Amino acid sequence: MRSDAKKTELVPGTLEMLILKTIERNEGPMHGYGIARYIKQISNDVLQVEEGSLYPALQRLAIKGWVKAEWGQSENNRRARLYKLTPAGRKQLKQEVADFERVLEAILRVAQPT
Amino acid sequence: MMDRLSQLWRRLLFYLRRDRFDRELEEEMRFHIEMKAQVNAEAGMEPMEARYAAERQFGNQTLLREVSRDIWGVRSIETLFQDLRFGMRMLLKNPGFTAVIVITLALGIGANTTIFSLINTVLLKTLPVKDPQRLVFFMVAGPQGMGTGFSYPLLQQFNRNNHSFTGVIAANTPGRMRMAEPGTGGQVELVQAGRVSGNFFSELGVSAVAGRTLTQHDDSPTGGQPVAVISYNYWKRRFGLDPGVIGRKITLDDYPFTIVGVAPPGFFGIEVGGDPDLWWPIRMTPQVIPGSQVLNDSGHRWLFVMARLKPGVNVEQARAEMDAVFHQQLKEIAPDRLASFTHAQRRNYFERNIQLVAGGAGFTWLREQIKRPLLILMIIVGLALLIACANVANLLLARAAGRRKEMALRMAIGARRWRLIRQLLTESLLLAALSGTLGLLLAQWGARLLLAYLPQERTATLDLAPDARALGFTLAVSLLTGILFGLAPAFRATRLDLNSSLKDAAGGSAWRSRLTPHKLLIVTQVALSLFLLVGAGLFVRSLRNLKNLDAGFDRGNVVLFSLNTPNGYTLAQRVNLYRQTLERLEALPGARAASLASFSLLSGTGMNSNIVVEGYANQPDEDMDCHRLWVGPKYFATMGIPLLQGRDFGPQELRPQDGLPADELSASRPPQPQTSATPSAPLAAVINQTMARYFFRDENPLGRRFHLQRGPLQDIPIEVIGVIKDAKYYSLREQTPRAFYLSFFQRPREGTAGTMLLRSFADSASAAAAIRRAVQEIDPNVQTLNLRTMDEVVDRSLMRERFVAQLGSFFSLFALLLTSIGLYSALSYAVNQRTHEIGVRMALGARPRDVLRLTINQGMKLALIGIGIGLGGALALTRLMKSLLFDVSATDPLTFTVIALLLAFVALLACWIPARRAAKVDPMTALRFE
Repeated sequence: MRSDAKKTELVPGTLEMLILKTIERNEGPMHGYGIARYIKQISNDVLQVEEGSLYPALQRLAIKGWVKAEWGQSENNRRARLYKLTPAGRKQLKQEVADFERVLEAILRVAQPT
Repeated sequence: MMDRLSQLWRRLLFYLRRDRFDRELEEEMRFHIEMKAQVNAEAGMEPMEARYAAERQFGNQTLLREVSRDIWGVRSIETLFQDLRFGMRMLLKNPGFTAVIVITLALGIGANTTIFSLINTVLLKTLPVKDPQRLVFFMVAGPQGMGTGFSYPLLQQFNRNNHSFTGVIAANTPGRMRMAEPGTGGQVELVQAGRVSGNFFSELGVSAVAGRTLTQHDDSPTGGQPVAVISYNYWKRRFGLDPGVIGRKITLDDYPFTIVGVAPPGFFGIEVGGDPDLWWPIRMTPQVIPGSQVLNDSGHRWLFVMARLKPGVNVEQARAEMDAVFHQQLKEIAPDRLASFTHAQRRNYFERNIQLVAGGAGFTWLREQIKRPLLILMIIVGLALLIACANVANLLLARAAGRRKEMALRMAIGARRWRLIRQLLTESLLLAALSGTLGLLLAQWGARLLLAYLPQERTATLDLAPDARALGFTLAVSLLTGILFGLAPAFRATRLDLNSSLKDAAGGSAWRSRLTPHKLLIVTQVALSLFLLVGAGLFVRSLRNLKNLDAGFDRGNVVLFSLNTPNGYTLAQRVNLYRQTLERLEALPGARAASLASFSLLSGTGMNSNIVVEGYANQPDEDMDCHRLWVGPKYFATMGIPLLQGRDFGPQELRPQDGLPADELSASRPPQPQTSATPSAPLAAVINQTMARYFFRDENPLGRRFHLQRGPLQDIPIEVIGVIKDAKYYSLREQTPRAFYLSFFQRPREGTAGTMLLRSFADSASAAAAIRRAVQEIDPNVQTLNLRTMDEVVDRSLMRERFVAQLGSFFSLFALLLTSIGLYSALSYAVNQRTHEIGVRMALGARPRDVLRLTINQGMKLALIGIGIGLGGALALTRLMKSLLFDVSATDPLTFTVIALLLAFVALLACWIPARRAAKVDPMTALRFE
């Protein structure tokens, strides 16, 4: 894939958390394209979610019951599959963010020059 | 856990909607691409270019689809369906092969399901009542076995002293009554009417579907109410479910009753298989049956008793309480009766205890009768199914060998072994499922066949339709069979050395050298068959022994029946009716002799009492018990019992000795002992050989006198006028008891005659029709009931034996057939495998005879090993069925030898055919075959 922006690989295991967080922040159902675009924008194009990973991830979340997919209207009035957070998903997100922060803190402590 | 379940649920939903999911994913991707294209276009691309770019950026759509499906775990389900489809194709490719397997297994599974459904119904199913686990059934255990009957006074004692139960209920065995609807012109008919205690329905927790059930008030000690509850079946049959039946006036044996309610459908009381039409309160007995003393007579044990345990009370507490009541009542026996007891009788009387058994499954006469036979049959059909499995495994093994190349090829191109085993097991389970379904259908038919062995009136409402338990059983058996016969072939087919298999080096020598599964299966089959055949052989011999047993009478060509008279029929009328009937019977074409008796021999009924023999000095504890039977004239001629000495009853014994007292005309009140009224006029008796020999040894018994120790006949002298040959009394299995026969017409009483007999040349059907006509002509109000032949009476007394012997031999022969097929096919296969080798041998000079012998030896060696093992097993195990055998030892050498020879012969036959084919191998063809 050609891309001008410098692309960064996602830390493994964080994609699902990013998706959940994105939906939570949006405070409403989102479609897959919207989620990908949002992550890209917010991260200043650093994080790029590939479609080949995005949709399987969404389905994994659906199986686990953390998101629920429904058909609805997109912002430009087209039929789109919209994903919203379930209560279980909200709980899971909190857990994952907490875990992630702990790990990140640890990594930073190791990585930072003393 | 819940998470897991809901995940599974979502996966399943997804699977069911997978087509929709594909479409939706398609749409979602399209939407995504279009959004991207739009962004591209806004950035200044041409529309077409914008779209291509978007698609390029999106990546591999097909891959995404497959990855999605993988995520949902659909792959494993799809593989399963692939396996099933493939399996189906394999089965259809070989329809003959498939049919043989499916039919074999279906017969096996069907037989197991049939027997199990009967076991389920008779032994396991609970009554359709509330909380059946808390119900207990009362029994009395004593030196003479278990009893189920209780007297009404004892029931009252139980109730009065009860602290353990919420209530004690009672019911009798329903009997026939004449039901009429006066003033409606409705037909008079005989119904099965049961008497129950007032709390019967409420304690069982059964409420009426219309009207109400019986209450304590209906059955109160101060006088019962003439009300009846009808069964749902009867409501449907007689009244067409008419709701107006509540409050309808009917008569039962001419006594007016009111119908107050209808029991729920499927409720048959507490006797499983019974089919009562209605129930009325026990307390009404004296009104409905004038003169009946059953409510006061503690010697009349006619009620089944059940009770519901209070919460928190355990069975042993309750038992102890009731046992104390029971023993208290035993002590209240009349002193003169106690004094008349021999030592043994005293023991039998006092050494009894109340037992409480689980009552949730109700009571059934069948249970005690056929429990053991059923369990034996279950073992038999289980083993037969095992043999069927062995057979199928053998067939599949042979085929597995044929599919080695296919398997090798599939493994060579990367299939894992587990994947192939799974494929083969799927095929086996598919076969098992087909067989199970067919077996279930066969079982429906088999159950009906099975019921034909059992007395119809005991099984009228036996519900053999498979319930969840029976279906579960069939499912489990089918799965188990599938795995059992599929596993070995699957492992064998996939355990291979790729190189040699692909090169098709037929392993002909494998048969000879090692203990292959083939051989093991054949030996097992032969051993099991032998075991089954020996068992069946012993049962068949027992049945034959019983059938050919000299019962002492001639059972052919005798028709029996009873007469049902309207209420109010006086004794004089009855005597008259009997006389007229006998006259008419003797005048029928083909009639040889006609008579009557209290009951039929071998019906399991009896009357007995202690006697005192004049001139015979008995020991204080000697058993003086003798059986008796009231009979009509020419009874011995009718039954074909030879008279050995003296004479039959003559005209002087066919006249009432004491006239017919006026007060006895209608009432059946027990006659007062007529002590001194006619001391000089003794009753005449014909005694049997056993009795004559016991009391009179070599002396002449004619003219000797005896009398009964107590009861209505007490102190009336009885004089021996003749001696007959011994005839079995209760059952064929017994040692003929001492018995004497008295003339009914010399002392006619209510209840001492009930069965009419006719010996005739005519066939039983036309005799039956003639009898009905004759009775109609004498009195149209009298009904002919219970027509049967003496052969049928004997057959019924052998029900258990017939049941096991006939079904047992059927299934053993089925097993034998399967075994011989197994032997045949395994040997055929071996011959096919060795065609090349045989060709070489013959080319080198072996004669056909040598080849024949070689092949037969090979098969017979296995058969003989199997026979040896089977004999050993049978010797060890047939002892367990001793109680069902008659006059044949459990290790009867004749049966064992004959069966072993039979099996050896069948095995020889099964080996002969393939061996001949082997002998006919043309060396040239065989060698070219390579």
